[in-house]
Amino acid sequence: MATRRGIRGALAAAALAAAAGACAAGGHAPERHQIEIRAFVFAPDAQAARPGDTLVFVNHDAVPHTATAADGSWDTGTIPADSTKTVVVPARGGRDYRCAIHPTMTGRVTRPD
Amino acid sequence: MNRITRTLALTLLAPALVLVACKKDSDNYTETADTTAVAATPTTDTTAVPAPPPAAATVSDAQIAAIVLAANTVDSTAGEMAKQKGTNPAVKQFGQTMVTDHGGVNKQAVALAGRLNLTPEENPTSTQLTQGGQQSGTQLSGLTGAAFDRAYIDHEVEYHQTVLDAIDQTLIPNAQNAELKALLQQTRPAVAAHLEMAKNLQKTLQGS
Repeated sequence: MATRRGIRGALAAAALAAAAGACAAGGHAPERHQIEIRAFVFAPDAQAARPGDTLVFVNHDAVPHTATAADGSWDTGTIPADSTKTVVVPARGGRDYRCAIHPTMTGRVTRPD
Repeated sequence: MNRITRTLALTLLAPALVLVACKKDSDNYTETADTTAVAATPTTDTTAVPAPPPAAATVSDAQIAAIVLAANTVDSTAGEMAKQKGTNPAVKQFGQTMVTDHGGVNKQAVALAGRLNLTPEENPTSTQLTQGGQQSGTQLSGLTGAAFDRAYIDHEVEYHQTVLDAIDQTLIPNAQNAELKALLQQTRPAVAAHLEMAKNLQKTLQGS
């Protein structure tokens, strides 16, 4: 019985944790969105994402880039050539971003409908 | 246009003229409709350079490889100087970016040349790019402070515009190997971005 109660407890705790995660993401399970960097362009240049979602930046260029919020609230750091970096969309923070190395490269995280 | 800028423009323009001359003398000369290769260079002092004949240059893949390597090396070297001598932090950062980016492109170009068993062949354009880089380096090394910053960024605007024109009008049209052509097409956005960054910095420095 003790073992059965333990399993039930663990399952309940896991359910609670999952629910808390969903709450943190505004009632939605966090998602991953891939943004390709190719030829000095973020594609898509506008990505719908919620706080708690993960943005995956894949750099296909031969040079390093970054994805850095215009207000500095989030930053992938340097994404070396042919590498990937991720960042979690914060609850509060800028939605416009750019490459800190090549400021002519810009993108935006939009709010989903 | 100041003396250094004019010299740089002429130095960088010269390869295009040489290419055109080489083209005229080559056995496999073919007429093309593109007559803007040199005329389109906006900052060229046309009073000092004769108008080119109406022909586009022809270069081989091996020559293109040498031109790509020379162009990247020249600007990487200039970037190193900007890192050392620049006073404006944005100028120093720009120099670092040129070192990193052109180094990255050269690494890619060397790897491709190796894969294609393509030995870069020095040619008038690659040679003059290298010599022009040495000349501009000498001129820039005589400057300090804000004067250096302005001259370096002026140089970068001129240089990237000329390289961009060369990519569009000479290198991509002449590249025969698909992978080499793809490398040039991938490099073009980098050069265009550098040009925009240099122009923005140029405006900032003019306003300071």
